[in-house]
Amino acid sequence: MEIIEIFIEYPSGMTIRDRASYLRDVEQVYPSERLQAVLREFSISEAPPSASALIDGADVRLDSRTDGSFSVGETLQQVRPEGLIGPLLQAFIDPTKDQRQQFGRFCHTIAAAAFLGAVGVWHSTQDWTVESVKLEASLVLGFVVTFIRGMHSFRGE
Amino acid sequence: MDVSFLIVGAALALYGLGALMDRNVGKAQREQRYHRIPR
Repeated sequence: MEIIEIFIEYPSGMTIRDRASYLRDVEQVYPSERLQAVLREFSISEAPPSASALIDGADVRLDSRTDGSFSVGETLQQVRPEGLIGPLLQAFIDPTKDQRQQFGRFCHTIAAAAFLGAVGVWHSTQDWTVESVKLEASLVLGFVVTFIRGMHSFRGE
Repeated sequence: MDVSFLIVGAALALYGLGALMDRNVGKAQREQRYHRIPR
């Protein structure tokens, strides 16, 4: 028997956070009688809620049972990937809001570098050959692409 | 190797990485938002 944290979230915005007992052998979660009574009371006026729990550092879905307990469902979000490459890819496979914003800042830094490079090439080029036009165009294109990408990464949730 | 292609390639790679991050964030949010307990 372990004690875990459970979260009940209603569509109206009301969230209940409580602790419950977790039986690992049968993968069932037993909330307190008080919480069960509250859920029964709210079921009259509220739409069905979603329930989740934090088990072994992972956010898992809870499925309600007729006796008032919950059974452990699928894992919603792994907190920390394992292995050698997993943590390296974690930022791209399952990024947080801050990681996306940091990526946006990086893109804007590259965009600024491309813009300054384009200005530098523009002022330093005497003869506009095919090569220099291509270099100038690639810098402008690089600026546009990384700037737009940065703006997208800064977009709110 | 032409440095012009390298610059455009790096910019497109950054765009792809950012798009991958956006896609996975949306997927995780949808999974968290829409699972409901049947009454």
